[in-house]
Amino acid sequence: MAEYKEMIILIAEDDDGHAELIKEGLGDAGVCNNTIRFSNGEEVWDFLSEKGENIKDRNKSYLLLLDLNMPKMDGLEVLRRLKGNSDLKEIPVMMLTTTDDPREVEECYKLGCNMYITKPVDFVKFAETLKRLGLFIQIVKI
Amino acid sequence: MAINGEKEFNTEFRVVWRDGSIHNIRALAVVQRDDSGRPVRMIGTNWDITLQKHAEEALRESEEKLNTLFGSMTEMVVLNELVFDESGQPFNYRLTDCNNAFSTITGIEKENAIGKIATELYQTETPPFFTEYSRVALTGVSYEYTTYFEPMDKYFSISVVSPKKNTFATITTDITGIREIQNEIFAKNEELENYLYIASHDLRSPLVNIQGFSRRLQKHADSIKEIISDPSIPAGIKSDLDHILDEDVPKSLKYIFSSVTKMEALLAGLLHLSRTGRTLMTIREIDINKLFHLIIGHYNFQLTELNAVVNISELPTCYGDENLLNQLFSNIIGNAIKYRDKNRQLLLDITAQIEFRKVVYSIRDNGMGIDQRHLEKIWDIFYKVDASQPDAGDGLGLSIVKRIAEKHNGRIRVESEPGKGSVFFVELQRFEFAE
Repeated sequence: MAEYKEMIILIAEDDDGHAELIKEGLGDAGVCNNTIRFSNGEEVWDFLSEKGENIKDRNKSYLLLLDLNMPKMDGLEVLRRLKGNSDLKEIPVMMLTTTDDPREVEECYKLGCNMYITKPVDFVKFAETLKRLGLFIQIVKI
Repeated sequence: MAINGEKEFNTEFRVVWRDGSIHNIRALAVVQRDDSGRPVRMIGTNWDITLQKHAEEALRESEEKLNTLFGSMTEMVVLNELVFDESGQPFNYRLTDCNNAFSTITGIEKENAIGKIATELYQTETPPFFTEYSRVALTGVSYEYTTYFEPMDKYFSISVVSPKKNTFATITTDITGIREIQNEIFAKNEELENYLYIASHDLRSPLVNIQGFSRRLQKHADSIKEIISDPSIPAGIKSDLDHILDEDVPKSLKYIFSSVTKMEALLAGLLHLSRTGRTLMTIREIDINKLFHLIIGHYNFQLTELNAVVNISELPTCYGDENLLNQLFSNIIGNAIKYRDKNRQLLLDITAQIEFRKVVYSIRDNGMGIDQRHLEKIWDIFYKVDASQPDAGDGLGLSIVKRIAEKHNGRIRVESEPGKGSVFFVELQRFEFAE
């Protein structure tokens, strides 16, 4: 029997403003899951790999919104580690970044990200994207 | 002495003419003798050999000059002749002359070099660059190449010319210094492109916030409006707030949004340009005819609509990256359509000319033309000849064209006459090259 687990959205984003906008945007799009915010790659990796105090709860499921350019450990490295770890690789990862460099996009898909979204400067578009993302998350939840 | 019968009379002497000029005279004479051998008379002729003298002098001087030049040149000059086998096929070459620079650079004494065949002289199994050299010696068509010579850790530029059939001369210049500077420029350019990329990328990040939070402010303003719609709010306060919320706030936000949009466009442009520079090229031989037909096909709708005439000559191939070259020529054709003279039928002439190892494609239009004062600037990023035009582009097209041409070790230039039209010349490599 499939067990229902609460899904937490992990936001790895070094820019406070972006993190705030993402959270609000998700709320506006009807996504009311709890979120945890990390301001660099190392923080989110410690959380996922259960290192330190703030670690993941095995009774919950997770979805990761991952920025690429972050201090300490960049998004690519987090993605590489996560997808290379048999316990963690099932966690859906959505890259959410300002870069739309085809090379970066390709690299992320190669490493196994589930979705790649470019942060549009236009907030209307950004909200649209988050809305779609919200729908996607709801589907994932079921 | 002649009269005494010792020898024939043959002498040169100088005479001063009446006008003061000095002339060289040669005198030749024979002595006629009687039966007993006694001299009877002497018959002779005198020539004015002044001009001949001057010519000899001039020749000696010019030879001396050439020899001095040949000897003191820092470029290594070597003259060779082909060596043929019994069936008349060339299989080797022999050094017939060389200058001092040859000895200085190679360490081989001139005396030991002249007359030697290449395989013996250079201690190689096959004569170096034989295919290229023999082609020059047989066809007379010059050839130029650069090469790295490992034992000396030096780069050389070598031009091969044929002074007469079956012979060739190589003129070798040490370009190691130039090469080093080139590499430095290349590295600097790369660094600049990297800065450009990082800067334009990182600057987008705060823009997301400015835009995003301005939208939020708009929403907060809307919320306030809803709150003050409550009848318990005094009318005076309400009208003051209405003014702020309906006029002041939207006005401020309008400026913020339009500036963000502008900045976003500029950054997107910079990113695009830096990305063009960073693109990894796949260099191969490009059928430019096919490429042009593809591009013209792409613009077919507009060109047909305009009843435009496009003439494409038979164009030689070149080497390059197909996608980038497509972009380059598309931008030029696109401009020709955009900046056409609306009072006459658009004519486009596409031709090419081979210039040694390069091929120059020319795209001629009969459009509006470009005013002299704009000519230098049209390649600059974001430069627009007339920014007030509603269909003015993003000011990127030609800077991308230039960037692509440079990436292909090529060049681009334009000739234009306002009211008549423009010709864009795109110089590309005919042979394979490394970026």
